[in-house]
Amino acid sequence: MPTPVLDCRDLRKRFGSRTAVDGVSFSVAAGETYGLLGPNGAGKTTTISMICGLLGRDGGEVVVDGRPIDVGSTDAKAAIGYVPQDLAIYPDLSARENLRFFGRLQRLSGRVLETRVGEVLELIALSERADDRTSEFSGGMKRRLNIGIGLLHRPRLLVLDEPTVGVDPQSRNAILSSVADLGSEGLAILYTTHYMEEAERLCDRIGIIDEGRIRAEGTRRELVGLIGEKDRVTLVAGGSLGPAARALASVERVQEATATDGRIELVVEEARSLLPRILQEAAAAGAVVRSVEVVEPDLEAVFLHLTGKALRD
Amino acid sequence: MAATVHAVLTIALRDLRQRVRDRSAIILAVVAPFALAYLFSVMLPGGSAAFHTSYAVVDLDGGPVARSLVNGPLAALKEAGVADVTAMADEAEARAKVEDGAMAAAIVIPAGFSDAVGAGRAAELKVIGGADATLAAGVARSVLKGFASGVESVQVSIATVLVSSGAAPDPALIARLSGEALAVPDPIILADDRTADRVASNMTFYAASMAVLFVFFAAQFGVTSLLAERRAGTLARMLAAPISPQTVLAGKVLVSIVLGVVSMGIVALGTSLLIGARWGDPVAVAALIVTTVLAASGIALLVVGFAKNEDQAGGLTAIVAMTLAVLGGSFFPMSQAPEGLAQLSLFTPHAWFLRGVNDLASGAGVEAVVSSLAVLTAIGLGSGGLGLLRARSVVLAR
Repeated sequence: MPTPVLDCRDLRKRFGSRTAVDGVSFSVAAGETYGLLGPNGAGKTTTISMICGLLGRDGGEVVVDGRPIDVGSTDAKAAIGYVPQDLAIYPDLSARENLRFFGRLQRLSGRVLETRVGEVLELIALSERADDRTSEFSGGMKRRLNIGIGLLHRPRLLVLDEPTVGVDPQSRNAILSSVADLGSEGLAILYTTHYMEEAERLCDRIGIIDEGRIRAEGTRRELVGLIGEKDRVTLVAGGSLGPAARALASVERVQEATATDGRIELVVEEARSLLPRILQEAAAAGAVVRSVEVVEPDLEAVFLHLTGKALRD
Repeated sequence: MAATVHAVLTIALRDLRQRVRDRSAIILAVVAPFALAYLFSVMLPGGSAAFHTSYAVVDLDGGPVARSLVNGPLAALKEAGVADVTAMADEAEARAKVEDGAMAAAIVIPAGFSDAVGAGRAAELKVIGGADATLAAGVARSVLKGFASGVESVQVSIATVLVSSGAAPDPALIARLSGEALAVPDPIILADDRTADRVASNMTFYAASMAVLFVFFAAQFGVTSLLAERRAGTLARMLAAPISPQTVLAGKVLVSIVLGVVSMGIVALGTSLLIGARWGDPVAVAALIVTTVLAASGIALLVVGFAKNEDQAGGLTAIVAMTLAVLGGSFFPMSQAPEGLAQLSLFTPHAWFLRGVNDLASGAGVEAVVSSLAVLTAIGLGSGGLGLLRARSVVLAR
């Protein structure tokens, strides 16, 4: 594995008698999108705050782009683009003025600053409203600007703290597409959310966090594999369903195959990769497949299995 | 270092721009102190302004002792600019002038006054006081009591000389000698130059007192925004940039200092040009303003350190500012305050600033305000140091 852009080791934080973060460790490589998935109060924002040097920690270590970070670190923070959950923009300033202000704090100046401000305004599709006060913006426009500020100084690591909370579906979709594009451009992204669908859609790897601890970590497939649940495939078909079901039951990684009332129900491992073989065997056995439905176990089930509670509790 | 200075200035300029757009800040920092200074100085005479009144004098006696009263203590009042003294022919005219308010009080010297003094009999002087001028009548009575005391001393002295020389007491002679003796200047002159008497004019006093009262409200705008930005999330975003918490604090404190200096500077300049306040040596006044703003900013920072949000900080600042203003003599001159309150006032920046302005308005130079400058700087550094420690926890609190 290449040197990670972000490396957290054994992060710990207490607030009085309450342990907010308890030994959190993970890393994020360049071009990788890592999701911290957990319910409200799980410790996601506290973890992010320590990573960005906004909050002192009681233990552990954070290294970003090869440099350790703590409260009071200055130069090392330049590698981070932070997008807080709140709309951290000034309503009395225009979009351009907001970008200029935070750009100057990121040590950009002169032509470099102006060029970069223009690029980011293009990226977040606010060029035409650049000089309007943000108090006149819609919620989605403010969200886009909120993200744009984090990208202004071309960080190595983009930290997004629940960026879609309170966002309408259209804007949410646009934000998720933008984040996916950024990940594909080589940016290391740390993305916190309590929306399972976002984690599944965006993240290369996911850390499931609850009560300040990472309960499990891995790709979506690895996490689902942890709980032993299998994919379910339903073939709506005609023809010889019984023989087809028997033929499919003998295929490797197919654990069950039953024919019922115009359907063949299968329990398989890794249905997506096995699907061509299943269709081939079914056709060879005389079944005429009209449609296919694949149901994979989701992270909600994983979270329930690991913590004994639902993700949105 | 250059990057830090650049960040401090960036933060300060953004806040200042916001304040310029915010009319409430301009009203609190400039308009209110200016307007109140003018209103107080017009509506509340007295205070540090010179006392001035008018007396009618009716000399029905015309004798030597009466003349010594008119030409002595009463003429001295006129010379000192304390009172206008107008001679009148009869008591009825004088009483009418007092009753219609044209004169604050009338002093009536009855016929036979000098003879009564010469004969050692009780001699009466009458003061007719106006209903709304008790202070003027009181001053007149005090002057006459002093004169009566002098007359008594002279009577005793002359009688002693005549008795010891065996001469018969002649009332006319005694009256003449009394008049001459009372006309002789006092052999001992009491030079009273207490610092408390070095007071600014009414206009200057209220200009200075309102300036120092409202500078606390002006200075709070900078540091209180820390709490507002923490709530809005922009503070966290700033701290995620490659700057330290101290840089953010420095930017906010700089805003407080700039707003405070601008507020007091405009009030000082405006009241000088428009309503006749006389602040004194500009360099010394500038030094007083800067050190007072330092003290106000330090105290405002300390208040912010104990507040949970900007509303609470605003309320606490108002309480602290008004309490210090009352204790420090922003609403009445400390020269008129009880001794205990005057001592207590020395714990406030207001008292030291106003003391400095009093000295400068009386013509003193910067050397006269060194103690004020030193105390104000100490208050600023002390409260500011504690405030920085508290405010750092505000910056880092999540």
